[in-house]
Amino acid sequence: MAFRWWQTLEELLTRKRGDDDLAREIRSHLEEEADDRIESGADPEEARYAARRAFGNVTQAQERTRETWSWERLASAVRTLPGGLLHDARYGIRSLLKQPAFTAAAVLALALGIGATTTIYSVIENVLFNPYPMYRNIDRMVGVMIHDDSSSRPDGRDHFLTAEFLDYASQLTSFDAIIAGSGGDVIYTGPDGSEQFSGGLISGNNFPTLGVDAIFGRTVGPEDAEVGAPPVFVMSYKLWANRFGMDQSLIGRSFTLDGTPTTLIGVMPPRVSKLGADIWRPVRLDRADPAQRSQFFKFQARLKPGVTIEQADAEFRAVAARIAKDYPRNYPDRFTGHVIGFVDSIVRGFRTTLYTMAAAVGLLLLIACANVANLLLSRAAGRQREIALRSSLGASRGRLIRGLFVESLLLALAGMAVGGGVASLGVRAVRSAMPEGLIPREALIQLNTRALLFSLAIAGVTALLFGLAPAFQTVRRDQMNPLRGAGKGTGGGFRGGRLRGALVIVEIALSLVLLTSAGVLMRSFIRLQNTDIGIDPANMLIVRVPVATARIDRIDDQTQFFMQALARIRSIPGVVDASTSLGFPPFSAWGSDFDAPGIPHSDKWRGILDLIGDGYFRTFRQPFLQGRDFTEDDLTHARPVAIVNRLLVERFFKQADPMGRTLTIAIRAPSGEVDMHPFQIVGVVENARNLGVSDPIQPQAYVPHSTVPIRGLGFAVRTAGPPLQALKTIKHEIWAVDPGVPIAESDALETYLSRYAYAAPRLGFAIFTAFAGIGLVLVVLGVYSLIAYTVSCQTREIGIRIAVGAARRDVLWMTIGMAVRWLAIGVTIGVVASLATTRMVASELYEVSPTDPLTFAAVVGILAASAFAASYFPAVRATKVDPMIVLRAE
Amino acid sequence: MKRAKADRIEILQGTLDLLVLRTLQLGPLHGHGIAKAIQRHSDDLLLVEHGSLYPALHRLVKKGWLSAAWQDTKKGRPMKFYRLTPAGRRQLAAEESNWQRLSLAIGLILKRA
Repeated sequence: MAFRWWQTLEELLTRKRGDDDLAREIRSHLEEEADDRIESGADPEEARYAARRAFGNVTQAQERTRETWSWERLASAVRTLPGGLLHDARYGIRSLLKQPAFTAAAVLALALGIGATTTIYSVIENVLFNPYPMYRNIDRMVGVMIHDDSSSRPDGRDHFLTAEFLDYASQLTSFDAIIAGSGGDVIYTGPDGSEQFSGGLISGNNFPTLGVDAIFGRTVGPEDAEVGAPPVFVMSYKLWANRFGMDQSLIGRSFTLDGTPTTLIGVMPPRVSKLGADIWRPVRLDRADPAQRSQFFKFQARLKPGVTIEQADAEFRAVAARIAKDYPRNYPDRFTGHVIGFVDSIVRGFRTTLYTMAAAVGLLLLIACANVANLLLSRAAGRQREIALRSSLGASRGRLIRGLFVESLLLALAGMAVGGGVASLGVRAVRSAMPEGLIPREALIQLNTRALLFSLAIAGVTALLFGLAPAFQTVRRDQMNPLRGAGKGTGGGFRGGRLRGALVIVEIALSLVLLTSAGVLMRSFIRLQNTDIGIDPANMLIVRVPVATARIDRIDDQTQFFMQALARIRSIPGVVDASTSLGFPPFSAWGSDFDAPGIPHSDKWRGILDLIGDGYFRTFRQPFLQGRDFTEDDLTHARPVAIVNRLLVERFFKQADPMGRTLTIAIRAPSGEVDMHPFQIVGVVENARNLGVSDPIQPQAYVPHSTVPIRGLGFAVRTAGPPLQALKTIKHEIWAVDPGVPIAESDALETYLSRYAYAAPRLGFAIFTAFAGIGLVLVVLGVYSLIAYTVSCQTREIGIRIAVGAARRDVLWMTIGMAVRWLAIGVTIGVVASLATTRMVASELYEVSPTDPLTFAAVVGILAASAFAASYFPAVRATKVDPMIVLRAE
Repeated sequence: MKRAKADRIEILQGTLDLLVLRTLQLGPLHGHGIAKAIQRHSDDLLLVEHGSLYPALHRLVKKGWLSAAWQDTKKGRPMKFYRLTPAGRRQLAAEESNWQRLSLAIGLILKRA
């Protein structure tokens, strides 16, 4: 019955008239009844009295009649609302608790859906959309990149040589401010000794352009980068809090950084960690300064008002093409210059991963909602008799709907409460599992209110919608049908079964998509972990030591220090072997250009260059193919000899024998000049990963570290026992050679591998597996509950079948057959959908096809087995139906 | 024949609507007349408190199954008469088929009680 507005209005206006009319009608009724009795011979007074009695309570009749008038109904409903709601709430809670299995399942499904969605949304929101809330001008900030067209990676070079940088700055007109930044660790010499901190060199306008001020003191400004300005620096909040005890009096004091007394002028706000640094010093880009000749600076800029990114992009592309001609060594054969948004330039690689995760969590939410809907519909169908009875006993439709609404609301609230808890746990888990360098350091992964509200809304709407559906269904239809029949089980049969069956099929299909994605990611991750790096990483410790300030320009002193320290380390009991190197597999040291006189080639020879000491290959257990290793003699005399990997020989020398031949390598002198220096090849080693674990190996050359000026070196130590246990002793030995030399972050090689090479794929695979697991649980829950409900509906039918001779096994198969049918359809749809969707994670996969048939088969198997198990138990219960009990009830 | 009050069964609200519609099938009646008719035709088995008729009548008017109008009776007293609308007739036809089942249900309910 629709709420007819015009009728209400009419009644409202004619309310008094309606009351009068009704009073008249009732009066005329009483008179008529009294007349009848008088005609039958009753006394007039008695007749009137009897008429009144036959009528019943006049006032009550009037009130109840008024209630049928819409306005009155609304008014009285509002009047009785608070008490009514409380009653409904109590009744609702009791009703929900009476079916604990249903309530628990529904709340669980809601909670999982809400929790998972909120977690992922929180990550995405803070990482992609707003990782830099502390920079006021972030919207106008852009980054640039020189993208190698032949590379499949989406990133490119964004650091330029000082001179190159200044050329760009002078030729570009799209920006009103250009900021430069360069990472550079700084050695702080304090009263207790030396420490190394992550440092950054920034142009004077860096922080002002970004739009961030210091919270204490003042930040670095353009005036601090002027010629002759006193040396100053600012500190990160994190360093100030953790290392310097939040001491405000430090501001204005002098610190010795890299040997120079520098004044601390301010502390930056929390979450500011530009360039990953804790200490920022101003720098002025000067193309004439020889110290800056070989330095690279990151190029970022702020768009001029009115200039769009597209315009800036077009201009940059043209300018880059021009400038490339002046710096041929720095540009690939084919490249494109791009201008991209600031945030974009940093999260580019992770963006697709996040979107994929968002899609996955969306699927999970759908599965959860389908589950909840199914549970609610089943429950409602089972309550039709209750509702019919209540309504025929006088409960108005409005009150019934209100009661169901309150009950659904309670369910939704319970789900939301638990879901909120799940979300906060999830966010904490993601935060701790997030690998370094994957997302902006400044991004804070925390529970996002907007995300929570969004998920609550979705889940809440589902609960309310499907909780109320039965109200509109049953109350509209006649109340009489559900009343027929004796027990609950012999009711109208499997009502509305098609919708619920469809929901289960949808759940199965969606969960299959999640499972296949998780499956291929898992296979990919396992493949990745099992990839041969080319060395034996077990029990290896890497200890990095920067070159002490005093020795920066004295290569001989550097060499002597490292060789002496190495000798001492080798003598430690428990150390199996040790060597020195700049980089270590699977991470490379430097990219460089190569050449070989006598071998013509048209393409550029690019590869990896590493600086090593003697015994490197022995320590890492990288096999030799030809020739010999470096000797201590090579190192002491800085002999220009080189060892190359097999790929370099295959790629550059092809069929020729490389032994003894000259390989020229581009080396940057301290003056900044890049020159090709000749080295003689004395050995060839087997390939080892040098561009990460999954990227293709590059040609690589190794030269003694004494031939090239260095700023630091790492000790690679193979220990007999757990690597970190030896760290203290190793430090002791290093300090025995040079007391107080700063030792940088050191850790086991396997830890570095885990953190940098495996962490990102591991996170993706872990999250997908979690989602797929939750989805599977929900599907099992959904199949189980639906079959259980169906069986309870069809008890009568089953009893009759058994009574007329059907075998119990047939009953079993009939029940399971339902699940099989859903499974067949769901799996078909799911497989088709998966074939399309797994392509989206294809970029994350390592040596596994997105349509890997083995994974698909395994996943379908797992899903089928789970669904089968879920349907088995209620089916067994179906076979236990006693036909005598059923028939007796008829 | 009058039966003892104890034998009379309180009528359920939904069935009241149906009985009213059925009673009016033969022609328009006023509220009092409807009450009397129901009592008569059910052999006094069903008790209708006259007052409970009025909410039902007004509700049926609201639903559009009945229409009401004041008319003078033969005795000259103005009474509000109710008559079936076409929609009401359709509803009655639909409900008629359920009537049998209702009696059985009520009988079963009573047996169980």
